[in-house]
Amino acid sequence: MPKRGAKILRCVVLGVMVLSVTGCARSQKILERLAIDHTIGYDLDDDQKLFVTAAIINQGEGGKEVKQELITVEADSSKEAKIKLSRQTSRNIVTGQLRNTLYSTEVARKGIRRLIENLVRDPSISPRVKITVVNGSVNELLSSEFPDHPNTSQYVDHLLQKNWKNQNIPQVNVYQFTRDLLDDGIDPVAPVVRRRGDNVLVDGLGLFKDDRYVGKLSADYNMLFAMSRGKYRQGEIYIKLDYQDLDGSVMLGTVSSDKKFKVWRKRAGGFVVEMLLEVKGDIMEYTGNVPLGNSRDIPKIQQGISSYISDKMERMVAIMQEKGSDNVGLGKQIRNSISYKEWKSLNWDEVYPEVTFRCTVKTKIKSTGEIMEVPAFKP
Amino acid sequence: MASNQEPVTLTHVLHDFDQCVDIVHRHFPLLSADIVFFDHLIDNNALERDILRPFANIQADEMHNLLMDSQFRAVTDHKKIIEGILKGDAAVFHCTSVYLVALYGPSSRAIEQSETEAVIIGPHDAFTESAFTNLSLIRRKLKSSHLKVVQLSVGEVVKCDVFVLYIDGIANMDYVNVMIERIRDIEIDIIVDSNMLVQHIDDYPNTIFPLFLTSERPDLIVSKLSGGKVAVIMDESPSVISGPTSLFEFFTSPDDYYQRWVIGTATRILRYIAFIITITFTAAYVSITTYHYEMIPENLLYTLIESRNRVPFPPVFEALLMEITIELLREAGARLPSKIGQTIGIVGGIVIGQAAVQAGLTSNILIIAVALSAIASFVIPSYVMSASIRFARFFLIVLAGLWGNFGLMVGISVIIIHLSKLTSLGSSYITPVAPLEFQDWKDLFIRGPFWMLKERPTQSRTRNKVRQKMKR
Repeated sequence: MPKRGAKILRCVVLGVMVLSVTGCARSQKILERLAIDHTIGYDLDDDQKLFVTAAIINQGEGGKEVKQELITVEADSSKEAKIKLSRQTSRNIVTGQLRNTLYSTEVARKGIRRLIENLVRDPSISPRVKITVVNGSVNELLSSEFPDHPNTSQYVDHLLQKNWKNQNIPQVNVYQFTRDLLDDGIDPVAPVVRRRGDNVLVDGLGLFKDDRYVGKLSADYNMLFAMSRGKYRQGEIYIKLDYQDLDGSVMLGTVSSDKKFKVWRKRAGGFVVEMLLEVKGDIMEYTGNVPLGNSRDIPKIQQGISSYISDKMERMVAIMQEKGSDNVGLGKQIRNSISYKEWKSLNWDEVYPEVTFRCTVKTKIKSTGEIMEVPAFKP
Repeated sequence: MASNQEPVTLTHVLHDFDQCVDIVHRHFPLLSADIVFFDHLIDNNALERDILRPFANIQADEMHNLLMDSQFRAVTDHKKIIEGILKGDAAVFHCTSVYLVALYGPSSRAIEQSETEAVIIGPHDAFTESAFTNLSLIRRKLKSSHLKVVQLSVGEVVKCDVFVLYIDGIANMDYVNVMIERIRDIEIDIIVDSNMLVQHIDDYPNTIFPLFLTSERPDLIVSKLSGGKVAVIMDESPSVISGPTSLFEFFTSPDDYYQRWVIGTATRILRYIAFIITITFTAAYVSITTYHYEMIPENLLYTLIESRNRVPFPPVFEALLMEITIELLREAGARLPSKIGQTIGIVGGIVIGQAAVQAGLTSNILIIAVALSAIASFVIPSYVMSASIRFARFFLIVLAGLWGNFGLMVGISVIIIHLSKLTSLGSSYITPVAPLEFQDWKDLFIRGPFWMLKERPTQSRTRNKVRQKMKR
């Protein structure tokens, strides 16, 4: 027995040596010795050089309050920036808690592929890091102080998070951005934020052609874009009725939608893509002249809503076609309907602006509220 | 003159008990009889009834007839006489023959509540140090002639009675025989307590986990016996052994069965959660604050950094420091009388806990982690198992400090591998998991409703599997 014990002991000692002497020990990242990166922002300075702003969670020496600290550096690439940044702090800069990356419109216009590649390459960076375009200077946004929100980078992050949860903007993180970037026949988007007074505002949706920012869709289109991209649940939509003799406006609540695409070939060449959209919702607010208590008039309002949505959807795609960016993914639908060989031989960038887009909407109003119960007035 | 008439054996016996002032020797010259006994081992009423009164009422010539009575056992062997006297018999010497009269009845502790295994509802009686009281407690609950009791004795210098109990027809005789054989094979001068006996009969003497369930509760032992297990009572010890045992039995308590099944199940699940908390919580804290800052949710990150900010030690030292402090408090509290024990609780809980944070020695989140895992460890009903788990935790904390989550996984794997190697009376220690026996799960991981618990545990390997036939 003592022999066996010695053998086991030898194995244990050997095991501990092998695992701790081979250089694993230095990988310690003790929490309070870290400068934890929360947000990284990229600007261009006057010499067209990259200007990096990092918002780090800093704890101050000797038990001071934990707060955000900004460090900035001018660099040629994001990795050079990291080395230069670490010269400015007493702690190790780590990126494992990175939440958000901000790109000024100038940086985004030049293309952000290289910057995003670095995010993907680093295993400590989560694929769920958000990608956001800032209308204006990133450094200015991060260094501005908002009286109600002491921690600016966290504020911007939570703002995006909340808006994504309410389906006001699509969720755009490294994973979704690179997926749309690398997939054929679809281009990525990213939310645009800017400062307004004492608040930050979601300014709309940034349209990308490949990795280059080409323009912005106004915030009015947020719902429609969400509907065009996927299933839409529990949203709210405000509609101005302008159909036949209808007037006023409708607010639809608990909206859910589902979409399908159909693709035809034009006889003269080129494609027609039709989007079949089904929208369901409850009327939350109505200011028009049609008495909602009369169920015969409901189809009319439904048609009014349908025509509003389809008009606006077609207008939205027209804006994208004008900019040459296929953010809805019409190319993907066409690609799925033709052979791979044909798709390869197609010069999509040239074909895309010529594609005819039609949107057919079927609206269903699930309920109009308590008004249904009130009997019609008869003199 | 009288000493010459004394039989040789009496001189021998008295010589053996030379210098034992507690031996009592009474001489009856009229009857030419002698009795020798230990005053404190016998029941005085029985002495009066069985010996003194009959002796007073007879003449010398009637002595032979009296000694024919059944309470007088004729013994010729000198060693047997010594042993008998030590066991509380009175030795009666008359002419050349010797008789032993069983008068055993020392003063003993009354049947009280168990301090280590208290329950809120259900029977409150607990075993005492007297084996006969313990046997009586079991017999009272198991009024059956099928309950068999085998008497053995261990100890070379000092013989101690050991009783092996099983229910004939339910218990597997292989287990009974193995148990008896192992107890017979013990060669040691003295065994004081059954928790010591357990360590002489278990399959792996070096493991930290207890391989047999020991309990002070008669209702628990009765339920184990009726489940087809073997029980061992040792004289002079209040804990009774039952086996074969699986790891998961240590997480069950008799009052699971006294409550509604949903509540019993919830309590049982709570104990498994407590087990996981005890074994991993502090280690996870060490691992995360040392290596895996990425795993901390954003909202917790700020408070965690703030609380760790002033701590001068790496997390692993900080955690070991506090864990050792808690163990000190526990050990100090266990040794002290309960009135001072409360003071220890206050000193430990409030003064040390609060002051250590304020002095910047530890972070308050670690205090929560350490306190929570200490409390969770006491949720486990078996004190022996809870001590084992608390020990295993230190191993995990060190590994977590060395290699982070990887170390934690290595540690947990080593524990699982070790557990799956263990056996109790030759049957697997993690029985319903490996070998996989799903029908046992409803009586170990949850406390299923009684209509579901139709069969005895598979670990008993009983021939008589069905425990209830009620149709539902």
